[in-house]
Amino acid sequence: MRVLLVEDEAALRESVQDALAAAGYALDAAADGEEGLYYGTEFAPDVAVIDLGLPKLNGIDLIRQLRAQHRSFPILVLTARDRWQDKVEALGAGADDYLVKPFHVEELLARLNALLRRASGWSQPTLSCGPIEIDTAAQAVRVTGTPVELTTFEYRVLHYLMLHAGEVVSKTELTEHLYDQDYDRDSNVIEVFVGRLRRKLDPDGDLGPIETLRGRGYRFTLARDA
Amino acid sequence: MSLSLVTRVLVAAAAVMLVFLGLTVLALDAAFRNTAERAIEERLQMQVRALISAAGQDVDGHLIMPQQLPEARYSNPGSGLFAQVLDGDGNPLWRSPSTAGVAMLIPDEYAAGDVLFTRVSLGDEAEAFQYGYTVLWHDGPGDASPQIYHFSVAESLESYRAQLARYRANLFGWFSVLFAGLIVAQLLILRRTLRPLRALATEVAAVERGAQAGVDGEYPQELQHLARNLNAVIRNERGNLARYRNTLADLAHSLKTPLAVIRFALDTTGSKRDETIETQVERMNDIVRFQLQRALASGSETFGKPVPVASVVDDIAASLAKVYAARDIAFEASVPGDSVFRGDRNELLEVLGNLLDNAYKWARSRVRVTVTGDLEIVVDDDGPGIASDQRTAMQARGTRADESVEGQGIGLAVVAETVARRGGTLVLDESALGGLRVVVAYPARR
Repeated sequence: MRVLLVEDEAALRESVQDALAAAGYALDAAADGEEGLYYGTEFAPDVAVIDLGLPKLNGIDLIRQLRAQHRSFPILVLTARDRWQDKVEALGAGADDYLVKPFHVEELLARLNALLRRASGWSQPTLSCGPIEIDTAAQAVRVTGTPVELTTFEYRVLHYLMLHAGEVVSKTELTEHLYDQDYDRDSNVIEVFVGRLRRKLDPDGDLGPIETLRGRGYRFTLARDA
Repeated sequence: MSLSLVTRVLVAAAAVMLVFLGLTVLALDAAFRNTAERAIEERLQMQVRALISAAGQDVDGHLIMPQQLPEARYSNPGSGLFAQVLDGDGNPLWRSPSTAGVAMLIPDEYAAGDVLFTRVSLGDEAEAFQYGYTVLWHDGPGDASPQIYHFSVAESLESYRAQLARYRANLFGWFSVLFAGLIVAQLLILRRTLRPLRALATEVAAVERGAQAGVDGEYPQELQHLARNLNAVIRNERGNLARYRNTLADLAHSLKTPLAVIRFALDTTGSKRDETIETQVERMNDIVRFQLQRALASGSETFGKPVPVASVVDDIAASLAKVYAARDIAFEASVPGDSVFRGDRNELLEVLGNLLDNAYKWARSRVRVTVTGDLEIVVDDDGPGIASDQRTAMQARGTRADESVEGQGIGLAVVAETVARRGGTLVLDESALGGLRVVVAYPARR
């Protein structure tokens, strides 16, 4: 999952950045509104965390411009001004949720998780497709009730594919959403991870959860339960 | 209490008019008396001439007056017209029969050709005008030396006085009517002139009540300046409040970001030792939050525009629908379209935002807001509610931030304070939906 973080306070930006990276997110961090607008339009984040009081281009205007350019990814607003005027304005401009500073890391992660699920049409914190289910809060994966150990990156791939279950996801899309921008993008690596995932989730080969579409990408084939 | 402008102007105008009209009356009166006296003098002069032509001399050179006098009133005692003839030494030679009991003036000295016209007293309080003329009589017999005679006629003042009284009555009558007319005209003009002032007062009252934003009527030049300045004051007050709030919001921003960094640091490097710090950070945060919310919600704005409650409820409902999208909560609002909050929009946003957010937070599936009258806001939810003894405790304890309960705490505390500042009340109750009911009642506007 790729997160766009726009926060002008360096100390907070760095802590949030670290926390999100630790939680397995790929990250674009911007220090002002203009930079945020650039990342938001040039890269394709899955979700954005935007502080309202930003230099150059304030948070509300940034959200308006992103929405005006049809960027539909969910936006979580951070606000130090705990007033309804700001919340109503931000949500009216196109934000989806808000978090008042100071906040706990867990709270931020839970909100981001919920926004991502909602954006791809999942209403429960547990994504479940047939026998495969992942608990997005605990980042735990089970197949027919048995826990399966995945590496962080394997989990990211599965999470992304399941969020978009039924849709074709290209390798480029996967690399874009799962790697930081400065990461060496080698599509062969993706193939390796998908291969490992298949072996771990479906050792007997009778589920076939991930389909390869030649030249187009991958598709998670199992239907969503909820 | 100072006199009204109308009274002041009318009193001043009345005084000035009294002086000028009074002087006019005096002048007219003097002119009239003068004219009347001239008329009397002329009349008496004619009477004297008539008497002279009626008089004659006998052969001895004695004056003789005819039995038939030129005016019948000479023969009537008390008729008010008297005549006498004196010789050269002031001895009466003849008196008209009407002079019975009346002493006419006998001049000390007179020479031929002298004219006398004067006001005289006839004794017994009677007054008269007397006209006298001295003649040198040549038509004596033979070479008798010419005789000096003084003819005089007096007329009592009675008719003059009656005439004067009639004239004066007339004069005063007309001038009173004139005076009254002028005062009434003045009053009408004043009322018309002062109408814009009354209109301005009405507008300012409307602004104060919150019915309009500023003074925007058309005013005469003299008042335009005042209206402009009033608008400037109104704008300034709004601006001051906005600046005050922005300063506080900036303070919030600058305090809370470091707090966020500290909390994040604690979250990521958390160990047992940090618990004290964590608690203290939490407390600091609560205090900052409460004090700032309190300040933000404090709008003792005199000149607030009335805020339509329905639009604020809609704004907040739209926001909360987004934030709680995952929760599937049915929201019902019953807000009359004409319900208005007389105060600051942000204040109402804080009150409704906190109440509804609280309800959404605790509700299982339903939140209901009901607004009635002028102005009562009832928010119901079907959440767990608060036990009645705890409710009482929460209300009794007041609104100290460091004492409030997590979750139900700061939001309700801020609302309670904000509402109390406007003289309103916040009451916690059990909802018909099963959860908590919060009733916020603002005092009715007179």
